[in-house]
Parts: sequence; C-alpha cells; structure tokens
Amino acid sequence: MRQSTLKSHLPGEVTLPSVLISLLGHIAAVFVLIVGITFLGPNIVLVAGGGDGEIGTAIPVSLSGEISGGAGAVRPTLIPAPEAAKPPPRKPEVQLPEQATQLKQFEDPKKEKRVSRVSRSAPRPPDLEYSETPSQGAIPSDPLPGTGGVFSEGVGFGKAGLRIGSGQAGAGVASWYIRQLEQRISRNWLRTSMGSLERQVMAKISFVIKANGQIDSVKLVGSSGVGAVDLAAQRAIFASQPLPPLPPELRGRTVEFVAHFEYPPER
Amino acid sequence: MNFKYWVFLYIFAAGAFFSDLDAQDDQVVLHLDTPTDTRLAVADFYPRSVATPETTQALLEFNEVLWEDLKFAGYFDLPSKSFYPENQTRLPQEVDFEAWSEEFLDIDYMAFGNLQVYESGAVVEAFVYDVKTREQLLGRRYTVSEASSIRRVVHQVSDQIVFLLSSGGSKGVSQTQIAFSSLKGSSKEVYVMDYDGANIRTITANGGINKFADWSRDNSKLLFVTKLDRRNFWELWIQDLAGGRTVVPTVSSYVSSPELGPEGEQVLYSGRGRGKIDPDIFISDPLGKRRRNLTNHPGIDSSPAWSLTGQQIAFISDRTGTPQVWLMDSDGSNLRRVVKSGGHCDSPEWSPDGRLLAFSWQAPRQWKHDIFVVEVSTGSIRQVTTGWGSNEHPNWAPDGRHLTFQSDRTGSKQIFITNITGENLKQITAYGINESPSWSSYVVAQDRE
Repeated sequence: MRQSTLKSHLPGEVTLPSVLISLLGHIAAVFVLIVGITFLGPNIVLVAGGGDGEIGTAIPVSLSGEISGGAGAVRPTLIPAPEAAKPPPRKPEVQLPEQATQLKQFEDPKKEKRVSRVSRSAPRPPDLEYSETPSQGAIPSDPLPGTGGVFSEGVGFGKAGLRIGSGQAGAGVASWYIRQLEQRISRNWLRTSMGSLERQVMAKISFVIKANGQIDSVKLVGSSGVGAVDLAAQRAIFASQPLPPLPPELRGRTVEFVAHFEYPPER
Repeated sequence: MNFKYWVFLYIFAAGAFFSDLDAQDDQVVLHLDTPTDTRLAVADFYPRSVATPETTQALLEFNEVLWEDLKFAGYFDLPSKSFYPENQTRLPQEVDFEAWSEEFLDIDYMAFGNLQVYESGAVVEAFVYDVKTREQLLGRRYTVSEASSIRRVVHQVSDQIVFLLSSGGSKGVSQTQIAFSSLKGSSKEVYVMDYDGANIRTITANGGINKFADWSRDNSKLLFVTKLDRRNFWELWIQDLAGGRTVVPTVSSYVSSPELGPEGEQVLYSGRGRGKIDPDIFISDPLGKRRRNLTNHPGIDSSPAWSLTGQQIAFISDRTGTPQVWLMDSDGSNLRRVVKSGGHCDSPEWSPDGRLLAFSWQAPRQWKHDIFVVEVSTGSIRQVTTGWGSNEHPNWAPDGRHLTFQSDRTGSKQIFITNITGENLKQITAYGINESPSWSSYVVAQDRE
C-alpha cells in the first residue's frame, strides 16, 4: 500500500496525458517569453548594441597601442581621473634627511616598452619619487568637502553584496566568477594605504576583462573624494591581473566591470 | 507541421532569452568592502661590492634593526624570511619578480638594498618595489660619515618605508625617542633613548630625584619635577636639550606630573595650594606668571594632560571617592567624568588625534594596574596590557598607534613599548629601575651631520 503510493509519485512513467500536459506548459512558457520580448525588446537591443558601443570600440583601439610583447604582461593604461578628483600634488611633509639623495629609477629593459601607469596618469617632473603620489590624499582624516554626493550614493547602494547587471534573472550566470574576482581584488586592496576615515566613502573603478583575464580600460568612474582611497582602489585592480579567464558565457562580449570600493568597512 | 513550428519557436525564443541575459550583463558590479593588510617582504641587504668584515658587521645590525622597526610599525604583515627566494637581491636589476610573486609568499611589496662601509663612512641604497605591478616606489641613497651611526640610517629607511606605504598615515616612529627616569643609587635621573632602547643619553646628573619627564612638542625641551639632594621641596624644571634650563616658580613645595602646553606657552601641573592639604590642577606660563587653580576642589586632583589643541584637560580626581578620569575645558569649566566603571585610575594621556585617552586602571576586583584606552566620545574601553605585573604610566607615540609604559612584570620596573592593540610588546630597558616614560614627537630635521 505504502510502496505503491510512493511509486505513483516516481518520475519516469511517460504516458500520453503527461506528454500533452508538458507540451501545453511549454507552449504557455514560450508564449510568455514572446510577449516579454515584445515589450522589453527595444530596450535590450539598445543596451546590447548601440548603448555601450563606445566601450566596445574602445578596447581594440587602446589595446593595439599597448601590447608590446615584453614579459607577456599587458599593462593597462590608467585613464586619468578628472582633474577635480585629484588633490593638487604637494610635497610630503616629512623632512627628508639632507644626505639622502634620490636614486634614479632603474629601468627594467623588458619593461621599457610598456606604458607605465605612472607616466600616463599625470604629467609630473621626471625625478619625483613615488611617495608623492600616495601622499596626495594626505592623511585622509577629513574627506574633502563636496563628497556628499558620493557618500550618499554609497549609503543608497545598500548591502546586497554583489549586484550583477540589472539584478534580474541573469545574476546566476557567472556568480562564481564574480566571487573569484571580488576575492582576488580584495586581496590586493590594502587597508594600510588608506589610513582611517571618519565616515564611509566609495571609489568606483570601471574596467574590462579580456578573455584571457587581462585587464583593460581601467577608469576611475567615481572618486571617493579621498586621493589615497582612489589610488588604493586603482592599485587593487592593477595588482590583481591577470584575473581568472572569462567564463565561456561571457566570452566574445565586451563586459564592463565596475568595482565599488566601500571604505571604511562597516563594523 | 504545427508541432514542428512550435518546437522551432521554442528554441528560437530560448536562444533569444539567454542572449538577452548576456546583454543585461554588459555592466557587472563588483562589491568590495574588506581591504586586507599589506604584506611586505623585507629582504636582507647585501654588500654593494665587497663583503669586508666591517660591511658584514654593519649589515648584521642593519638587517636586524630594519626588520624590528618595520615589524613594530604595526602596518605590515611580514612573511618569514625563510619563505624568500634564495638569490641575493641588491639592485633593482636583480629582482626576480617571478620568484617573489610566488603564491605561497603572496606579498604586495618588497624592500631590499645594499650597504657598503668605506673608510670615509658608509653608503646604503634602499629600494621598495610593488611586486604585483612591478613598479619602483622607493630608490634612495643614504650616506653617513661614520659606520657607527648605521642605526640611524636604518631608522630613516624604515620611517621612509612606513611613510610611503601608509600613504602618509604615519611618518614612522623609528627615529623618535623616549625620555624616562632611572634609579641610580639613591637618585633618580632623567635619560633619553631611541624608541627601541638603544643609544641612552644622560639629561640630568644632579644627584636628586628627577622624574615625570614630558617632551615639548618640538622635541627641544624636557619638562620634569626635581627634588635636589638635601632639599625638602619639589621644583619644576624645563631643560633645554641644547643647554640651559628654566625653573618654573610654582605654588608650593609640592608639584607633580607636569605637562607643557601645545605651543609651550603654558605649563600644567598638579600642586598643593597654600594652606591646603589636597593637590589641585594649576596652570601658569613658563615664568610662573598668570597662575590659576583650575580645579579648586577638596578632593585630590592630579595627573593633568593636555589634549592636542590644548582646549581640553584630562586629569585624575577622587572627588567621587576613588581616583577616576575626568575631563574639563582648559579654563576649568565643563567638568565631566570619562570612565564610569569604578576602580582606581591613573595617568591619563591623550592620543595625538584627540580621540582616545590611555590610562592605567586598577579595575574593580583587580590587584594590579593595566593599561586601557577609552574612546572619549563614547566611553568605550579597550584593554591594552594583560598578564603578569602592574602596568602604569602610558604615553603615546606620535603616530597614535603605539604606547610606552612602565611595568614590573619582570620583577623590577622597566620600560615597554607596544601597539595599542597589545601586539608587538617589547621591553626596551633591562637594567636598574626605570619608570615614567614619555614618547617624543616625530623627529623634525634633526640628526644632520
């Protein structure tokens, strides 16, 4: 008695009624899909085709200028942030010893042809040392005025963890890959280089990942208002490459990744 | 026919559906909110050209001190040297990035360099590279005229690295100094040493009792109380380290725990007013003029401490029955209690950023003092020291990340330094009895030859 009840629920009995029901169900599903496409279609086409066309064309162009053989590592460029986002360069406050002399940067012959991030980022006197760059943000105890927009945006962003695209059904497609990226980039995002802040800020870096995991078209698309935080975020992206190769479902597409660096973390 | 049509449509629709998913993925948002600690490799420095005995000797000290400095800085995670690649790295051309990028090492930056001792002195070249981006962050040559001052160069290198990799968050404390009192026979004298306990210099040698030294903010003067031999009153001295001293006229024969104001234009101390039996907090200028009693309360008020701006004063008062940490404005108004948990508190000190107070506390039902830190705005308390012995008299390093204090955990009172997290605890004095340490400010354009 008990066994037969169980058996009647087991799958595998292909009968004519079940086939018909299945068929009807599928037809209904297809109908829903068609209706959905009819309504959403124009928008999607716009996003996939024309809307982001700029990114799509930008990659091959900027890449061709950069691949230089070298050690096999393609150095992405840093497209400089808007001037407003950069605090004016200034001398570090530390008093350097008089007898200490600046050594010339040794050039790795292999590196020579690569486009250096530093050299591209801003015009600077040739013998400035790197330490001036991180110190631009100074001791970031007091975020610059006018960062309220960034800040409030950070709050509104919510704590939903990662968000992919429009947050619709596509979220499951490559979530394992997204997690890998987040882990890798987090590992290279250094707390030390940011100091302590009174309140939360967010830097947004956009970049493109090529099929082999190389990073390209790195842009600061949202400044935190604190130079040190922006720089730490940029370094995290550059230091993370090569990233894991793109999953098959993303290959052949130009996918723009936007990393939201929220700092300080909530405790 | 009809069936085939539907199957075709089904496949077509499914394809459209999945390609639409991809279209939606055109922008993917990554959410990052947990930065990590910086992992720094500090490779041994090697002789630049010839391993002469002098060079080898200097390198032994150099490598050890550099490691200790950077470890104590508290900014970095230093993977053990036993994981490092074996080949010597003296110059940038020799960096084997492949080897240094090994996953088990997993470092962000590496420091390396070379040293050579000549007859006329020594030359050190120090480099820092970002291992992940292969960029040079530091390349600097240091020269000293005497090989014996190699220690100072190490501290310079260390501070430079800390400044660089902390984005200016700290200038590094390796070149700072600590003043303290040491028992010599029946007298206590004031001394100054490097932050790591090396290079002890004598400040007083008057045979009296000299203690509670406090630095001026520009490191040029030390303020302390003195009771000279065969005298029965305490004096308040300001000793100029370049020579000369001022005796500040005080209110009576008892004076204790003095502090110089932020600009050095005012002196704060605990003293006993005329005709009173309990001490109060007094303020005056260095000439003893414009003296005022800030507390004027029958309870015992002691251990005053200026905040960074000089607008607030923390002190100890037993007006509620037991000694507790109190705050007031620099004119004596706006009195309020900070630590509300009872017990016995002593020697509060403001952190350089004015956010925290370090103090020693014998908490209720404890038999000894430990160092605690309280956040002034919230009153939340964190314990810094644990374990054996009584730990007292905390004093902040200028970076606000470290504390020095005295402890009798080894049997006699000695000076210790630690991170405010309690990590990296180091004993820096070993002989005699040493107490009341005071950490200097950052070193500014000093030590030139």
